[in-house]
Amino acid sequence: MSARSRKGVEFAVIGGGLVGAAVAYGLIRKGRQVALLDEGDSAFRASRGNFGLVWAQGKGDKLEAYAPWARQGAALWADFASELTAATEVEVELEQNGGFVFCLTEDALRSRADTMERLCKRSGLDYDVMTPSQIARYMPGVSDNFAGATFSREDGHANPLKLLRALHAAISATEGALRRGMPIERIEPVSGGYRLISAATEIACENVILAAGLGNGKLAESLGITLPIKPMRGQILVTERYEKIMTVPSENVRQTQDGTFLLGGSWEDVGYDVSTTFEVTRDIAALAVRYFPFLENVRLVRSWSALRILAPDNAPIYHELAPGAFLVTCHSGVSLAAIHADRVAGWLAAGTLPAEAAPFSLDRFTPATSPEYALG
Amino acid sequence: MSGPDLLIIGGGAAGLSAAATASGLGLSVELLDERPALGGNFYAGIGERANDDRALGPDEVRGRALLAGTAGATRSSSTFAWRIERDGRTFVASEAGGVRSIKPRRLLIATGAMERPIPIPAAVLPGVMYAGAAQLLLKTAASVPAGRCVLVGSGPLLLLLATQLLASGVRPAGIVETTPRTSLRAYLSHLPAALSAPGLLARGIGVLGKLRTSGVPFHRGATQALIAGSDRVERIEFTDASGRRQSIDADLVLLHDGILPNDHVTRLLGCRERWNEAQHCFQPVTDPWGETSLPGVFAAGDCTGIGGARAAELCGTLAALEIARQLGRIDEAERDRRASRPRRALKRQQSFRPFLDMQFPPSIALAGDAASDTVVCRCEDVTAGQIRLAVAQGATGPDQLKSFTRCGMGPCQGRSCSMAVAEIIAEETGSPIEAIGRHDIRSPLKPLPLGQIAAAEAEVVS
Repeated sequence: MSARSRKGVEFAVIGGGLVGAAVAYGLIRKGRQVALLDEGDSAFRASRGNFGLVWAQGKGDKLEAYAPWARQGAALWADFASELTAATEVEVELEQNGGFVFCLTEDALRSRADTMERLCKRSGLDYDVMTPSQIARYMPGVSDNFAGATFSREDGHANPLKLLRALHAAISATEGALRRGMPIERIEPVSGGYRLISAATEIACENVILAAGLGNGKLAESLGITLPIKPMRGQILVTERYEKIMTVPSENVRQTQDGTFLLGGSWEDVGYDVSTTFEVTRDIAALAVRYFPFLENVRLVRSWSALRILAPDNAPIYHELAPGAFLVTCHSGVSLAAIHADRVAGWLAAGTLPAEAAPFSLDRFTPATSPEYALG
Repeated sequence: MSGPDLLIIGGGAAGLSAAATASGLGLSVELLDERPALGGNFYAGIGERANDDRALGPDEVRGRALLAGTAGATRSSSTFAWRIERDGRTFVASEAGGVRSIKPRRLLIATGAMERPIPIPAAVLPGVMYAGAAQLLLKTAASVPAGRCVLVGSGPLLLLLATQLLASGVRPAGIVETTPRTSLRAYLSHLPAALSAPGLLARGIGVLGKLRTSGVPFHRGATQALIAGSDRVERIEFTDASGRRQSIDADLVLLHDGILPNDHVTRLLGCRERWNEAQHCFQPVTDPWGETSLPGVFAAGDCTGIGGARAAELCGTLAALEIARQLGRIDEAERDRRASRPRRALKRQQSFRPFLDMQFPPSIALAGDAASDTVVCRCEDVTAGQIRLAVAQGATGPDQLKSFTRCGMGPCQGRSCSMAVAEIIAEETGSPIEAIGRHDIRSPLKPLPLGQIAAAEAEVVS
């Protein structure tokens, strides 16, 4: 393939995080020539701050097409993980034994169950409502100091850091496919493709995929398009290791394979600020101790913040910004990694987004374009 | 509740002298130290031991005077800062279990120095410990090693410890000094400056003299030192200056290869830092009064670059003077008048340092070509070989490496591995170490039980 004469690389993927790496990995597996352009060590890196859930339940609350998409994304994960591990010997620690969303009050639990019921009609994703004593079978040590949880059998978790490493390892097995220290600043259309410009260098490509997370905003501007994405901070706490007792994760507390507990769940609209705060640290700790009293004596070792890349409806965006220039962005880089490597990479390899992608286009954020409204 | 004028983190030479100066000028001062007693490393144990000055000499007397000068400050030992915000708000926890926050008007970081970690496979072998830890035991608990003890490595502390052991009645089985030989030219070029601090030079010569006359086997210019043993230390092997392979049986090996700034707090706060080539370490950038790139946050003493206890004490005084000026206690003229003597004394101390730096460059702690099976990150059990593999797979910076290998993610927060990681990445990628840097530091500064954090609500005053 690479011998074919062309103006630069066939596919340049901007952004070496989970989204860009999954798409690049998928394109390489489909035989395409790829350059994954990674910014470098100082990037915001939502991928490093990911909580690690492989999750379908509740997704699509504000865009129902996302519900079946997320479910398919989870279903593709097992094969994706085993292929990746076979190729790289990096174990991504996938467990898909189900997952919980805890609700403190009866009202919250009822409302949560209503949402799950509505989404189930669209996606077919089954769920149960469980009391604390039922949850204890999967998560020993849980208290009875809350109403209960919704449970989905198809959810699970993986190690996002190992996933990113495995993707990078798989991609770098192809000479020249992973290019580091490439903070692309703007994109210029040229005949037959695009020129990607950074302070130090320029890269010519036929197709470009914007997968730079929050950095997509600036890149899309250079093509004259404003993106409706914004950062949403999440803080995560990590404890010291503990005997492995949990087989299933919850949205707030999960135990990794090496025994540490990850505690999270904060949503803060604070712009591009990746600091952690005492108040949120304390609140996350307090909630975790309320759900699991034994955590009281487990020590916090580390905390960090990362910025989710959020569209107004929390769903992914897949859009052809200009001929051969595609946007792929979402805040569920782990949950959707398998489907990005499989289906989305397939669309891109074909050079066109199919009808299946239409609900995820940018057009959904542009109201007042329906004829009757415009005329009225 | 209003906070103190000044919060000092670290009760060593710099912290004590700053506390004394600041409280003497009428500032309200809180001084915290994580150890059970104040004094830091150099003056460890000054407040605790009876009048046994035998092993430690006149330093202890000076330390006690420093400590006595801080009576005007609120002092807490066994208390550590687990979280510090960029605005100076500091969350502290005590061993007794409480968590509280302090919002000082100025913050002074005086966290001293730490052993330069030595990434060699045998460093994790039972029977190997760092010389600094042995010296602390000697100072705080009058505890001396039993069995055959060999001191290995480089640096003034290694030789000083040997004389302190001798004074305590312990005769080391040998000293294997791995310090590379200094060229005569380098030696002569630094000598004039060193001669401006004759007291320090004389003290060094005195230490060497004591060691020579003690009859303890003292091998200088040793190379290819190797600690041998299967379940625990058995012996140390090395090539002596004349090229002969030698072996000394040992029950305990005391390792040392110099000290590093303990700059964890300034790193957490994101203070600007620079690479110090002569001392082969990173250090925070400060102005002549110790103010970091973060206004209102000061740093003094060895945590800003290794200068020794006396220099630390002087830097603490200077920082306190500028803090008092910023808070309106003294004017600029008064600050400068009070600063002139300590500044002159500091200059003398600093003139000696390049001579020491040149004499004792790190010799066995450099990780760039560490053996693959060397455990670099002890918390997460990550080896030099695993780090090299991760670099090859795309981790070209310490933060990416951390996420790939967990190296630096454990309870020590990378205190023991960050230099070695930077050296290995620099070696593998061919980039200068100052361009590599070290990974970001995250809260908490020290591990803390979740229950203690969760319960902090009621006690926090905002």
